[in-house]
Amino acid sequence: MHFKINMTLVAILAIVLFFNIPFYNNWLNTNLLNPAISISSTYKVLDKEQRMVSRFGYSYSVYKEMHSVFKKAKIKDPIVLLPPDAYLKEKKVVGILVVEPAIYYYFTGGKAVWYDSPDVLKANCAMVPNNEGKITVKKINNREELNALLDIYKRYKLDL
Amino acid sequence: MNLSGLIFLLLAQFFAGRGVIRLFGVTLQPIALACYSMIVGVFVVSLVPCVLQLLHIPLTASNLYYSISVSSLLLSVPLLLNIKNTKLPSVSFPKLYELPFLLVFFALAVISVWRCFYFPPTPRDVLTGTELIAEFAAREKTMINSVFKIDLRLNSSANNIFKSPFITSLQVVYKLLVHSFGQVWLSLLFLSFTIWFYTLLRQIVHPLLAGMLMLVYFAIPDLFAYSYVLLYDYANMVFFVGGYYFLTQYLAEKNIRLLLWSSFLFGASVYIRSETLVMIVMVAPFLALYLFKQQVKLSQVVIQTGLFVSFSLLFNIVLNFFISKFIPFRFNLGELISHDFFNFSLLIEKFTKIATDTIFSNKGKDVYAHFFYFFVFVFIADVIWPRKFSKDARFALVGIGVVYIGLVLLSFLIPSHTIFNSAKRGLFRLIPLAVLYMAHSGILQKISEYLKKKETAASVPAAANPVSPSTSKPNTGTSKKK
Repeated sequence: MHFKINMTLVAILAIVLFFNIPFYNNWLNTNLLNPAISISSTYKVLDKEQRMVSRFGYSYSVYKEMHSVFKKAKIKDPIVLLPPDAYLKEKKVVGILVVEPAIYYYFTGGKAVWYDSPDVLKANCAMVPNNEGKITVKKINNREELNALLDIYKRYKLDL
Repeated sequence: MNLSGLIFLLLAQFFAGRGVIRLFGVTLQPIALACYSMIVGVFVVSLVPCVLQLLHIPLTASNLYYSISVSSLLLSVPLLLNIKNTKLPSVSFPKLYELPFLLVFFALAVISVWRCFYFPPTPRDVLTGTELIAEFAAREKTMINSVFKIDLRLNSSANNIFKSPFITSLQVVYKLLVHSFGQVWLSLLFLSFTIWFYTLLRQIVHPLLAGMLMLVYFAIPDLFAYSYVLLYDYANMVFFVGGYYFLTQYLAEKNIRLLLWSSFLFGASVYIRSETLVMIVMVAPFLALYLFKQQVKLSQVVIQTGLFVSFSLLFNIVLNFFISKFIPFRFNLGELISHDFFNFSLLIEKFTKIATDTIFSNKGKDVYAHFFYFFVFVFIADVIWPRKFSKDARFALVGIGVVYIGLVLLSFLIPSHTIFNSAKRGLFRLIPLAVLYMAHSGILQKISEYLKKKETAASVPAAANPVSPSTSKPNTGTSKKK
């Protein structure tokens, strides 16, 4: 029995020493014991949408909201022209990441395009930053409005 | 969450997997049997939606219930035929000194399982590929759905829709039967593999050392993260390492059933990530050479090597068939392959870069922590003393070499297979093999023998125990068929 108790103490010591190695200590504390989203803070929040928001952040809420605005405005088959991320940054929009059309579709079930998408000319609405660093949505009424936006967006590189 | 759906799938997967193991006729130890029943069951279930899709049967919850039930029942037939010989397994409880480690592992496993259940699939690779297809397959009841009418960035670097339907199918099943995020199957693979791996390690070395090795393994940040983040690499690792382990068992026991079983597991790993085929083809010459050295007839060497690669080739064909049927676009692999075959300086650069940029770098530390430093330390210690490399240790080293060189070749031949992004997860296959090497290393075996001797001496009066436990051969996870 003494042997087993001694071995148990060795096991405990090994674990303590291991998690005192700075890297593992940091990993344990920041990722496991005190993560930004812990089990204790999440087990009561089981709503699917809230979990999506907690994982994908503010951007997800913005895209969902945007899609519901198009629906409320009764735009038939909305296809959203998304701006390049670099353009949003230049306009000092904070906290929103531009997603690629596939992820927009995954989030909202709605279609989106980038300026180089094959269906870009079918875009009938747009996500546009204003000069105050806020996101606005607008309906694209004609080819001139679309071209004007494309002329701006094409100056920026698209990043996946 | 639909708990009854989860219980149904747990049972269906277990019996399907158990049936497949029975078909192969391999006899595994109780825990290995339970774990591999679940692992193989997950793989079997992943094929069901593909078959339904081929038959143009809508992917509804009820159709999946029926088809999974039927496939599990069919695969259970070999079990039913042999039900008289079924015995309840005897399970030994862990020792007191294992409990601190087990508590830590349990806590980590709870975190992993919770995150897998709680969070939606996140990586871009799946959101623009398999998960996207699965989400809309669950809504539209077909894998060929509206996703293919949106801009999938097919002209850019993204080719995520062309990846294996393994994740797509499992996501469809789990989304429709269990939970809208699917994904829980990943926890089943994680738990089954981890439990099997720990029991295997404690058979190779003293449980105290097994606990320490497992702790180092568990605390690899990226490997732990991918136990709950949906991607191919963890599942691929599970099947690849299983295949490699049972190949070594075949070489030890010369039971052809183990060779076929190993081939099947390797085949499943190819089905999950097709580039694994490169590594399996690289293992084949080692197998042939080994058999040749054992003075096996040349015809037998050819047959057995052929059997070894057979499932990998078969599943590669099945994979490409499914992709051609389910994806309405064509994928041109030729465009991705570099034609600069004789650029040896680039090959050498890739060879060194995996070590310098991915493993032993600051970025690598964030991914693997100090794991590879532990491995190198044990290896160097082994070279210095006791300089004994057992057969199992050498097999593990060959496996490590194959994975490493395989990744070098892949990044050399396919420039988009980047060193840091692609190879870093590809190296997951190597990690359990490195742990196995450490367990078989001369130095740990010496310590293990010492501990076992001490333990026996402490528990049994010396006069009553003339047999030293150090002389007993470690039990390695398979049991010989009687």
